Amino acid sequence: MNRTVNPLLNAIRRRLRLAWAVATLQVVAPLVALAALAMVVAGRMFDLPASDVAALWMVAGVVVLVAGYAVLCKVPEMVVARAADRGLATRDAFATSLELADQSDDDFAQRVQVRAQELAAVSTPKDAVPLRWRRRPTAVAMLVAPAAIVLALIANPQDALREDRARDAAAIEATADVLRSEAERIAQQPEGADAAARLEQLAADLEKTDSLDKAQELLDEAAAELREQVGDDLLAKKAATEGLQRSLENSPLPGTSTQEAAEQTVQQQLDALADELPSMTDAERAAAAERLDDLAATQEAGDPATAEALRQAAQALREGDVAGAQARLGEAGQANAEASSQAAQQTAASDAAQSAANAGKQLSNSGTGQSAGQGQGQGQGQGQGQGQGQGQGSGTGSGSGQQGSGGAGGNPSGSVGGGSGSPGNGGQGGQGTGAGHTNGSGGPDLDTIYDPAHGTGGETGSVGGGTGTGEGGTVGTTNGQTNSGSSQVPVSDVLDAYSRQATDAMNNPSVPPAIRALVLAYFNQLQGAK
Amino acid sequence: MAQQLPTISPERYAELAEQIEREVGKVIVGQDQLVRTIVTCLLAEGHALLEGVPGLGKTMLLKALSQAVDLPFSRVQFTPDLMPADIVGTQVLEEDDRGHKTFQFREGPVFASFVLADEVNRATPKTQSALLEAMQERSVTTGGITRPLPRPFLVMATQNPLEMEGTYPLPEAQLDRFLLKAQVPFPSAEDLVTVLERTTGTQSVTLHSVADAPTLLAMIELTRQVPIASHVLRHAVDLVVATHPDAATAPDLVRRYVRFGASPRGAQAMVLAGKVTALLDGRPNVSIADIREVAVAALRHRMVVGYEATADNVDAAQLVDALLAAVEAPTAGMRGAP
Repeated sequence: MNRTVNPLLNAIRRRLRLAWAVATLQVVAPLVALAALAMVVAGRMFDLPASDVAALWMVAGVVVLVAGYAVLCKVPEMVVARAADRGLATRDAFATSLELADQSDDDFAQRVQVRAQELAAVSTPKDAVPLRWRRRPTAVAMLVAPAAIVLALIANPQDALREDRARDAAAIEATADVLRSEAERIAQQPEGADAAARLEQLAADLEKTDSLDKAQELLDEAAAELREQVGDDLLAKKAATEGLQRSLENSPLPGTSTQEAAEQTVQQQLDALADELPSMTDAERAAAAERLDDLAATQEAGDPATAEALRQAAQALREGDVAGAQARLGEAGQANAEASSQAAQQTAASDAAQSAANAGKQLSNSGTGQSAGQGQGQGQGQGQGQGQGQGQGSGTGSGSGQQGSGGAGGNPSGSVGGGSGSPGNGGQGGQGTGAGHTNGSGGPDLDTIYDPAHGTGGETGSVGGGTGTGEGGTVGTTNGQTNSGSSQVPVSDVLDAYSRQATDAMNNPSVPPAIRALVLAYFNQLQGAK
Repeated sequence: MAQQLPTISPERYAELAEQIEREVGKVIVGQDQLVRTIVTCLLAEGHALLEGVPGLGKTMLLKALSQAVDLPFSRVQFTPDLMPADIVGTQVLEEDDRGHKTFQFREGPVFASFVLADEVNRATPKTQSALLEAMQERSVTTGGITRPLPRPFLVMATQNPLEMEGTYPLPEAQLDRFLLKAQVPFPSAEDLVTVLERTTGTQSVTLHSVADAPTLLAMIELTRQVPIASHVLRHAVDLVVATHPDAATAPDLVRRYVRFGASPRGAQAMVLAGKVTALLDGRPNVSIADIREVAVAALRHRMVVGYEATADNVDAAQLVDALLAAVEAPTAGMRGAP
């Protein structure tokens, strides 16, 4: 070969690389375009966040691969020469010339070389290797590729779903964090370790789930489980134990000074009284017995064991059985300690249940987004009175609310007014209220409180119990219809009214001192928070 | 002692060949391709088999060729009673001046540079075989003595396809000895008018001798010097292989109608004829196109077709066409390349 032929063949070799790349791309382009389209479509049907990028990378990868191979692949000289012969229709001049390159002394070989040079002088690589466009694959690629691009550019419905999922996950995470902080708070309460552990476990379970519904289910289950631990007698037990503590703080038992009373437990005061008994006079013992009876009466409903022990201690004192009274006082102190412990556990469980319930509400509200609706509740009140000849009466009331239609988060509730019994009088009918409220975007205002007066127009039915000797009862039922509106109002709006009502109620002499102190302390605490 | 041949350049080669064709063309009208085939056989030192109806100028063609190259020409009309000695010659008893009688060999018509074996398929196989040695060995053996035939030596045999009665089809071995086979087409009306004008008037055409035996031998020698690239050679082989019905590359028509494919002589014929074609085209090398151009003439008589082909009216030329379509010219072997 020579200076004329070699440059042409080198140029043809480069042209062959280009032609190979073009031809190969035409073969693979429809397949790649279809694959890219499939990936983009799949990204819009399934949760494949990287599908568009993957399609782009695939296309780029194929192009780079083809281009890279075209640049790096070895193109033998004979292939170049034969391509030149075919493309230029030189009747195998270049290929033969290449084969005879080492036969320079042969006349025909020289003639072949000369002819190749002459042909090379008038030939161009473009003529030798024209780029061919195959219409069908090119058309397919030209149709499919723009479709994939357009589809990739328009909004992907999966993005919204992914955002929703991310929002749900964040809400679950936030809920788990709230539960953990609640668990820390509850753990610091007396006997709160178990409830705190349950909340910790719940938070851990929440973090393992990515479904809002599943999280809600876990929260509901935990709340129900904790509520079961609370039991029905928490308030009574708490009122009894704390009332007894307050009562003894205000009016210590003999053997305990006023200064010591604030720091001593009930059990310590009872033990101190037991120690004091032998040195007391009969009058002092009778007064102590009277006091013990009074205390027993306050414990009857919430802590019967303590009440019974106190009553027996009082009886022993009246009978002059100091040792028996001491033993009973010890039992009373023990019973009170156990009741206090149980109350603390139940309180912690109650707090934990409330935390779980609040977290559930927060989670559901944060996940549902905008929702508009009207709550409508229906309250039903039922009053039952029972009169007894002894002049004692009791009333029970129950109320139920039904979720109003259209309320996205209608929270039916019924508040029940407990019936108050008086001798010969029937119980007061319960007040039935139903309330509906709407949940908008975001979580509920934690500084709000449920106010039955708002959003409810439930009718109150009062049922008078029968009067007479013997057993008599009248059962009345009334239905109350609630109005639409929100039942959640800011605490500050109603706190004064609630405090006033509570103070008025506490003026009733029939309310045990301990309960009175508890209620007043509660509202004082709220006022302080305000 | 080897004969000293003149030096012939490829350009002179092409020029002489063109002059020969031009001289022959003075009397043979409208048969350019046929003339090219005969000249190709002459320059490749092969033999030609012509097939065509009588009266198309086959004898005139060879006669004109002999005049154009100034070489002896003989014509043998093959008949069923033709004996081998009628072709190759015989020993005759001759008496000299002194009265001594000796057997002398009297050369038959085969001892000419150009032999026209007219209606060769009408002779018996024995007589046909007498021609076989002459064609292949370029010599004649009689009475234990082998006598070389003159060079160049060209046998042009004709077959009459119309008269099948009383004919002896040429055996495959003998057919294989013919380098090329050509169909002699009936001339067009215009050519026929020209023929009539030239042959029915008073003017006679005078042919000039443009070459002689040494020149022709030098041209034949030059033909064999033409280089051929390996992939071109390989393509000729691929074509021959594909004529065999059991070959993987054989087209469907070949599989269906061909009983036996071409022999290696088929490839030799294509290469030699391709070399002549290249030189006549003014090129110093054989191309794939040259091979494909002569493929029909070189292979059509070498493929033994079965009865099915006759029944379906499929001739060998169609089979070679199918072959050429199936065995395409090799590409450069790279996607996107021409």
